[in-house]
Amino acid sequence: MIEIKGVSKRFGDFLALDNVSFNIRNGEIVGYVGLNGAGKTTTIRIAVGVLQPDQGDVLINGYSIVHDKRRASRYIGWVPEQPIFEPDAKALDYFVYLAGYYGYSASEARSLGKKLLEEVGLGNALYKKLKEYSQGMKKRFALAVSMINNPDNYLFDEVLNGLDPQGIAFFRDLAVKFRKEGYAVLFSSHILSEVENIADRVVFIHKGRIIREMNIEEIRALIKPILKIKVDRVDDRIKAILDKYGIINIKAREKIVLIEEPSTDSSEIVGVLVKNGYRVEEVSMVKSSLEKVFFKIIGEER
Amino acid sequence: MIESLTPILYDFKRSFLRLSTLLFLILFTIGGIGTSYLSYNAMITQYPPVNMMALVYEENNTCVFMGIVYDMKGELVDRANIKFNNPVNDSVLADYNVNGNFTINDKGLCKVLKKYVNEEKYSVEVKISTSMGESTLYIRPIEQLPQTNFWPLATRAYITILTKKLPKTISPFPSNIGVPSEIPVAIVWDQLILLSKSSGEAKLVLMALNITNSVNNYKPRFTIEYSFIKSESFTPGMFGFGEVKVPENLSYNLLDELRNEYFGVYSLRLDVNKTDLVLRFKYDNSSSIQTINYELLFPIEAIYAGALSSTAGLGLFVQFFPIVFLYLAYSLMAKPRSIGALEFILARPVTRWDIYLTRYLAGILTAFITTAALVLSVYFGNILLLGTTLDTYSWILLYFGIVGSLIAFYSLFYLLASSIRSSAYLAIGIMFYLLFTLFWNIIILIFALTIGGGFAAYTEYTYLLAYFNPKCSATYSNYYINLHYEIIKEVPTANPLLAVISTILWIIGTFILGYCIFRRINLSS
Repeated sequence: MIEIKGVSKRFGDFLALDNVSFNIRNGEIVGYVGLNGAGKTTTIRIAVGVLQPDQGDVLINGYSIVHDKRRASRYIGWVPEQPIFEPDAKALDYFVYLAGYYGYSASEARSLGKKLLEEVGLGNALYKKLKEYSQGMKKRFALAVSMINNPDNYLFDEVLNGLDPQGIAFFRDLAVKFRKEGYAVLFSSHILSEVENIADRVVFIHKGRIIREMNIEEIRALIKPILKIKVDRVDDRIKAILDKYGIINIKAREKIVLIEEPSTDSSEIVGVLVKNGYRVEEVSMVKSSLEKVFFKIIGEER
Repeated sequence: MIESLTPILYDFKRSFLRLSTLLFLILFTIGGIGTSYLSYNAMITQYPPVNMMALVYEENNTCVFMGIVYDMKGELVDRANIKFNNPVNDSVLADYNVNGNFTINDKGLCKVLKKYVNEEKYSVEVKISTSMGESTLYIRPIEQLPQTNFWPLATRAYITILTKKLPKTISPFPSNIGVPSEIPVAIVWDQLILLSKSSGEAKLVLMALNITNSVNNYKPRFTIEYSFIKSESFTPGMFGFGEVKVPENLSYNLLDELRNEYFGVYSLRLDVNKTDLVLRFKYDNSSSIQTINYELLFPIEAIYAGALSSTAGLGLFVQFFPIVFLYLAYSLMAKPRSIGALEFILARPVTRWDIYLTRYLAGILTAFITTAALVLSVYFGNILLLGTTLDTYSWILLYFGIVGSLIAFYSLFYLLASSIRSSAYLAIGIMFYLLFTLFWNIIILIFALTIGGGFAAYTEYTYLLAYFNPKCSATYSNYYINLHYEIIKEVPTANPLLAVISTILWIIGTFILGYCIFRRINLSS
């Protein structure tokens, strides 16, 4: 359970976070969506305790990251968007080093490191220097380190960014697996569709403020089928004819009529138009995109 | 606090076992052993590495070659090779493997010495080789010296072969013999080796021949006694020749009783409040007195200590090893902080303080261990090469002086590494390094010349300005070692308490200031 409570952060004159509050409950994947620069990474850096908030606090399993960091950090894993390690260190050595901070002796840490690095798919790169790791490998390494203490809270910051399809599938499956195990997972992204398939809930952030929290069902509900009909001409009458079939949107210049959530079959509507003397040139069914929904949500706030 | 030592040890391992540190350490260890050689060379210009005091005598168709071989500290050597060479054609006239105290019967030796030295007038070279080094001395033909080589006394003829400090010639006839005027009963040759001026520890190497048995079977009991006096007006220079008045009622301690021929090395503790050693050779009711002034003898340890702590010795380490710590602070703090690598570490169950402290301690541990490695290598190098070393007080002072200075430098560099970006760090770090090491003497000079005192005040300003330099503890430990061995005189501006306070402030002040900055700094790249 991660509770973000009224967190504000200012960088000079720039207000990066403004009273941000939301929770990530156990057994839940929360998508954290916003444009680049909205404050997602700042929120996450504060939540893992590498950045001090100006106001507010983050509780990890009830422990304050601000006042009880050593304890709170034990219960949280973090995969940054671009993990940075000391480049000259070898992967397993560096793992052992970091595990030391969790109280593992060198030999314990070594065997744990081999196991976890194997688990995240780095079994063949244990002795490589971290500077030789690709971006995807670095994220896997960060994940393995995050799993040292087997925490039940994870923060994935733009984790799918820059990954190959294999890597994307790996992190998605992992998030789903973590949810199944009852962990709390935050999955940040600037692309809503990236989190749509896995998130239970989405928190939208814009310009440092939380603007909306929605269940995935609510978001999906915003995605509606639209019947797109191209006709030979549009006039005032056509709207009156089609009004009873749904919300009508007319693009006069393109001679296109859009019917949101049509109440009846497309052939019936086409039939009515033909009967009224319109020539129907093209009929298709389209869907409004998640991105549109996203921008609509943001736009509402603008 | 951190629950496992692993991170500290790991950071230490990464700082200590890094190529640059090890290379520098090896370099300075070699330098340390080189220092031993320097000390060694400094010493052998004043004392031969090995010395011999010996005599050859011929009596009733026997030829006896006896004596002792000892090192510059007056210790008998285990093994030595003595060759008598004809320097004209390099042929070996006689060759003996002996131990430190030897007696050899060889008729051939007297034969060749008589032939070459007495008849053919060659200088016979006597070469003593030991594991400690070599010395060469010469038995010269009669013409070059006023005395005869073979000194006929009764039925015996003697030749003494001995080396002294300078020059390394032999005198076939002892110059300072304690021969009582009435009856020639003894020949005495001495060398006083002062080991430590502060403790008065010394070695008296003595050859004393009770030759009375060759004269009419007259055999008095012959003793050697010693005492100390303080001479009032001694002309420095050649010791043993001053006009020293020895009080009649002086009490003596027994040193030894003389048998026929005797060589001895005596450990003496000279009275540091007196100036002369008085030796009394006593037989029957007669006695003869000889004094040896030790006031101006330069102690063996001082030559060594001076060379060891000089700029050419361990001073080199103090001067250049801070570069390693400049680089360590860079790789442990400046670089990972600048690229943003510390942030990921901070996401572990640690605080900023833990990270700051861990990496600091890794550097401190490196300072302690590299200095220990260096000091031990110098210590053992010296024991093996020279058989001499400083006293415990000096080693401790030397060690903590160097460690204190390295830690102070590291703390300063760590402060810079914690607060400025890595690109600027190296430039500013190198600037500080140059200021405190290479340019410092110029600054002292400028102070002396502008504020007052001129060149004469240079030394005083050295110790006064040292407080403002992280090198302070090393400067002061060097000063006190030199003072301890009386190599230098006390400087009025030197204050040990201020030196300690300065070092502590350099270390703690920069450490705390660095943390105050590090605590608030943004750790992302």
